[in-house]
Amino acid sequence: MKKLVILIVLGIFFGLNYTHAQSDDLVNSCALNIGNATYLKDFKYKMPQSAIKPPPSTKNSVVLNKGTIYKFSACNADGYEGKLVFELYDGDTKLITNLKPDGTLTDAAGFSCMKTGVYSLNAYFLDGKEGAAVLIMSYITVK
Amino acid sequence: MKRILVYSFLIGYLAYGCSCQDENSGKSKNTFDEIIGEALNQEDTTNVSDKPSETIQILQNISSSPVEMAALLQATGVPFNENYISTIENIDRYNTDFKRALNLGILAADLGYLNMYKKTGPVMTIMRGIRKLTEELRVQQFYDFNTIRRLATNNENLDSLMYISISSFNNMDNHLQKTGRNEISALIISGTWLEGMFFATQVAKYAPNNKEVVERIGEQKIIVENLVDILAKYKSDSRFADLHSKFARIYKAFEGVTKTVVPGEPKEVEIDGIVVYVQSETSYVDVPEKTLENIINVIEEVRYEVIKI
Repeated sequence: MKKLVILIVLGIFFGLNYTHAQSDDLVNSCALNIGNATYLKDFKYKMPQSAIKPPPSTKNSVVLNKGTIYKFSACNADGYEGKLVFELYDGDTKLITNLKPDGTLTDAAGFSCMKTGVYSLNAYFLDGKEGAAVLIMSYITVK
Repeated sequence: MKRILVYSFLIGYLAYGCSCQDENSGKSKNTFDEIIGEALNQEDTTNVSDKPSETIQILQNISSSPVEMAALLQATGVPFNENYISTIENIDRYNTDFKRALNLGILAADLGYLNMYKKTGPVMTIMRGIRKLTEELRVQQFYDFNTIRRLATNNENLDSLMYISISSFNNMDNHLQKTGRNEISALIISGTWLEGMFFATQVAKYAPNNKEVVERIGEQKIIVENLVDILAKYKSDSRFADLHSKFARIYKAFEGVTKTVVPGEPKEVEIDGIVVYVQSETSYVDVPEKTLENIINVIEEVRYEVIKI
């Protein structure tokens, strides 16, 4: 019995370690594609399909600093239909989004911050489709 | 015992194998559930969730502020100064998780500062300190010490070194929050912020005309306010009560800081192939000379008290 418990614990340990490595890989691959920018933070999203309109969303508060140009880059997971839409708000005012007026999505959008403060980062999957994605927040150094 | 090890490896291998199989056979959803699931804050997936609280989210976000602070210093032409970096000579005295967490935050900020200035020499010293403290706090698994050592000693791919350092810190902090060790997270972040402020205030001490740095210092009023709030939650512990009073002293020093917001016209520009929205409103923070002096002094005092704890 004691052996069985040890086996289970060790098995879970090895399994979890592998899962953790996968999590790192996903963010790593997305962070690799941020171009001439420096990584600051990542946000991970996973949502089931939803018929509710507007689709369910996730809100995160972020502190942005005046004088910094931020870049937000989305990476969608393979195997899912859902594509991530992100929006940056200052209070009720939408500042940026990767959803263009024609309904297409861009992989990244930039924000040149002129007012230090707490902003809201809102994210959902287009048309409420099931999706999983990573959003990388980085800053651009202008030379 | 040998048989146990063999079986445990087999079980581990099966867990590994199942995941690989999924990955190879059509990028399955289960695989991604595993990929995302461990690190995802499931509370966030509810409809417009405000959990974790805004204060916590702000604190999670300020972990990057020393990096941005160091980037600002570098961008404004401030030279690297090794005297800003903490030492690890007191590390054996950090014999409680409280002391370890606070000083881990300080060393993490130092690592960011060194990386920003591409000073890889002292990185290994700081990493020794980080390794010891993370091991004692049982969060060492988030730092890939071998890769960091290789990148630092070979002076190669310094962008990767920066990325690994910041993402390791973020993953560690996420893990602490998700496993209910919020007080440890609050201490690490307090230490990180304090050290970032130490860099900036030391620069301002000798270059008070560096307007961008002085303004960035003044802008930290909102952050210290949140830090005071979060530390107040744990005031029933006398050590937290003491730290709370230290940060309340810092907040008080910001009393003279004022902020004005001037409206303007938004515009869009293209940088590095992406559309960048330039915010219309611009904030201006005024930090009177006496206020700046108070902030510089209190940051120096509190930082010294934390290191010599």
